[in-house]
Amino acid sequence: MRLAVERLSVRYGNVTALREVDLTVADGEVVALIGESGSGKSTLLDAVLGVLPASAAVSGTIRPDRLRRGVEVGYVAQDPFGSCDPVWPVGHHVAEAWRAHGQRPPRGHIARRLAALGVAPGALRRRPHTWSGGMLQRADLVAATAHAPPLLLADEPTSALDADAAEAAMTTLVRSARSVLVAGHDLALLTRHADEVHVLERGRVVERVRVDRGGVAALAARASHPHTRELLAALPGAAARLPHGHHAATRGAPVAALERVTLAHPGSGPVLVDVDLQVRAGEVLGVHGPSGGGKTTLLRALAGLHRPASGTVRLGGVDVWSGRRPRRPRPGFVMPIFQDVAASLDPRWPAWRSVAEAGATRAEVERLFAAVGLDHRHLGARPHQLSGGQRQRVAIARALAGRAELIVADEPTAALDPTVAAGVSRLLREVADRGCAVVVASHDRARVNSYADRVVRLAELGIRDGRSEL
Amino acid sequence: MRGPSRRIAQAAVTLVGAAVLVWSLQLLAPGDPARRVLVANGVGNPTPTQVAALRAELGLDEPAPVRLGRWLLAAATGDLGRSWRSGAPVAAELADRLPATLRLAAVALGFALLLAVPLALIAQHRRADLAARGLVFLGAAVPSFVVGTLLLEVVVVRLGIGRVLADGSWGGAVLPAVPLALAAAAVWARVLRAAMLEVRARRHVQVARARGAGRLRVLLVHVLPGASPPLFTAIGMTVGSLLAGAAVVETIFTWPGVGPYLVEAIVARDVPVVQGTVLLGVLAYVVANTLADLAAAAVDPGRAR
Amino acid sequence: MSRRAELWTGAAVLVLLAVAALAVPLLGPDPDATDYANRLAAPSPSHPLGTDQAGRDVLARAAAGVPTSLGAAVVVTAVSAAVGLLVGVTAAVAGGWVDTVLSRVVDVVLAVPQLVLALAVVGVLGPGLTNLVVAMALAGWAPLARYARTFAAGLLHRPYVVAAELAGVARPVAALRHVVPATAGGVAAVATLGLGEVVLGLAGLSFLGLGVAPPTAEWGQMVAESTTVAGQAPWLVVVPGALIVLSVAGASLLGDALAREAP
Repeated sequence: MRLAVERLSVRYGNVTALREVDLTVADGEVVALIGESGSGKSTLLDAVLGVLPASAAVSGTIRPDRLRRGVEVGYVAQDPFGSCDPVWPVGHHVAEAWRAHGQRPPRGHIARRLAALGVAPGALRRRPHTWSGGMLQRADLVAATAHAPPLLLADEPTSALDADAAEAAMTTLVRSARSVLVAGHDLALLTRHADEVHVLERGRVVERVRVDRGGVAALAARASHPHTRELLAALPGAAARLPHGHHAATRGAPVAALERVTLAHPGSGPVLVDVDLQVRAGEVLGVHGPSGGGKTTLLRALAGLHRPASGTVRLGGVDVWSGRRPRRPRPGFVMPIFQDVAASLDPRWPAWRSVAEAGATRAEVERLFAAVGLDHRHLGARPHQLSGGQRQRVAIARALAGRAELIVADEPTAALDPTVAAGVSRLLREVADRGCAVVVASHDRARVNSYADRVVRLAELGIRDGRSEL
Repeated sequence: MRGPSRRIAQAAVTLVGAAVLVWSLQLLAPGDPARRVLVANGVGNPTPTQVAALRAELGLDEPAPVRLGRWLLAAATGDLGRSWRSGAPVAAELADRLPATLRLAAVALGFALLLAVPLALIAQHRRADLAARGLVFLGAAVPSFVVGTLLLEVVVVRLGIGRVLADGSWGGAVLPAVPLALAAAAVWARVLRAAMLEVRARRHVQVARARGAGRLRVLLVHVLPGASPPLFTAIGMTVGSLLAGAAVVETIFTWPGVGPYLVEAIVARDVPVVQGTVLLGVLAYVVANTLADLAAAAVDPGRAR
Repeated sequence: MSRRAELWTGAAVLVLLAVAALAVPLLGPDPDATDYANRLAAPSPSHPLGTDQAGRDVLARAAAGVPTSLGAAVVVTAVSAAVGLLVGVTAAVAGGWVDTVLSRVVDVVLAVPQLVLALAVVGVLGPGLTNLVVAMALAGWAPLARYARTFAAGLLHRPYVVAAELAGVARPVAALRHVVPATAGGVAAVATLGLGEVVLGLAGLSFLGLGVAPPTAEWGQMVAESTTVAGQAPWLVVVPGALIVLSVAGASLLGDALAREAP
């Protein structure tokens, strides 16, 4: 079956999930969709399937439409636990593929197909919470391909499987349907099975690459869009060393230090292990890493807000955790800048009050406002009357009011438009040039590179989950 | 400890705490309880000797913690003390009246379920939702004593439709159950409607649709069972307010249950009866909530606690 | 309905009731004046809502019932909200054993259904409007305390509170400045949502004769007094009933709108 999507746009309120997407899956072909999470892969599959929520505003055409779900188009869902009804046994979930059409599964059929994928069928009578994600994912695959659909849509169908099982599942998946549209993160696996790769970035298809089941090498050879190259660069082992910042290397006095610090969250494993890090006055230190990688935890540890599982945190020579409560050289020594511009200032207070609270008189606040590029009109404004960039400037003024020697900034520009982000970055650079140490965590390598003296990768700092990410 | 036994142990601790609270309330009461008992029994102006004698008899001279301990131990064995008015054991008087209240409660809860589930299902249809919500709002806002009074005095007495047998039988429970059921159904339908909307947005429901399941099948096989845990919780909560509801409705219909017994005791400030009856209500509430939690966990064992 | 429309409709209903409570006594007859010659009169120009079993003007009595029914409920709600806010914020900010103890107390109070607890309190204090208000407030603060604790605990991790603490503002001061005002808003919204329940509860207990003493007018009491004549004069039940429904509707619209505004 040939699938043709033309100029498809999907919006949820003000948020655009898909923008004018064109996509064709030729009869008998396998097309892979790649892109970061949130790039619109699942939305695209849901749209083709016709199961978008009622709140979605859709325009564009999908041909053929009104496919008989389950028979003409099969679907392997993302997140195996979320996609399985927790109330019923897994056997019910698989058999639903037949019962939904008033049929009964052929005797022994489900058990045979599961066994072929390496799952013992005895567990079918138990409910999903007793299954592993990998087992569930394979059960879902059996249900999705129950009627050998001419078109199969698969959303990260192997995310919970190890490499061998993923290869087997993908082989089965490709074999049990004529045309396949599969979304995922595992570039190596997808490029081995796909005829064509479509790259999604923020709801747009930015590149189409013919790979002819040729693996990553084929994609790397033919891809030209920078975002595709970034996705390739993020592959384990493929990453080139990050170029270091152009500013002069460390020179000032040490302001903060982590000594063999291990950071963990209660109830889960360590986030970062045995980190050694020194921050000096006058430098901007960038910390780069993926979201969820532990950047925020590292910054909180530097500010004395997160107690390490082991190791020593020093602020201006003071051992922060020598007692039960954190000790810092003086109030205001460390000040924070947050990503969440909406919550970084008290919504009830005029801007000047938030700055004054950190220890400045009204006159000083006015001077600080001028120093961070705000003027007297902004003094009395409430946070909701200020733009995101202005709020970050107020936060920086607050840090200066505390006479901070160390500013920890967690994704300070992530919520800002590029030009505004550039302004805030410049301001942070100026603050550092006047002698304050600034540590910036960001997932935006290019941005942080543009104003940091040095950039460390999270993966270089610590070891996570017991295995090196280098 | 595993889930269920842990939950039951938790319930037991809560019950003891609540029992302590129920008993301790009497310490708020102004004046000498012994004197109140004498006055209640027709001794116009009791002499200090009479009061002292009764204080000794009721064990009021001992320190509060000792009295509390005694009461708790006795209550654990089913002894709730004696009524200050009648002198009869509270437990026995309650046992006489309990079957009628249980019957009324069972009929009311049944009615409420028959009303709430269809109402919540209808509300899943976008155009019927507003009407269903209006009905639910009215059900929750109209006081049960207004419904009960109109039902009894206008429908039954004035118009002669139906009749009331305030004899505590199953058949007689139909009419008094209506106001109780309306109030409960309103809450349940609201909870179930919201829970169903939430389940409908879950991934597995979309997957079921993707497999080709029709609207009705999705609603009855996947959405309704998945939405039942919050309903169980709401049912458990309703059982708690049932004693208060029964006090009102049973009084209107002169139903021979626990409700009027409690109200008379409150008016006469017959503390042992009030405490005993309230303790029974708390017991029912804690048991119902525990059962509701266990049922919810059985339906959806993966629910994060 | 939009949030603004809900807010204004709800507020308007409650204000209208309050205005009626003030205005009707100025224009109409004494709510307690009996006129046995004119018992159970149907609504007419001289008695717009008819008269009751003692010949008293129903409109005047309905208006006189506003402070005893709705007003008492507002007092109960305000007291519950204040206590709940104090306990909840204290538990969240203090943490440690203070939090543990307060949370256990809240758990125990919540284990007794609100109306049943109120019945128990009236049972030891004796009937009467003041005792009823005390009883309902004693039973009503616990859910608000639990809500306030959760709400305040969430606020304590807000970036602006963290920034204040790093700048050296003591924790209790930071709590008072940043946490209490926002939590108070949230608690007020939830308490307003519960106002309808309180109106219903107070009216129910008054109906049982546990509230105001006759001849004071109160909506639940008015229904109770007229049960035996409700067949001949249904307005005696319908009028106070409608006022209760109106109060509950106003409170729930207002509470809904406020709750949606709270973060």
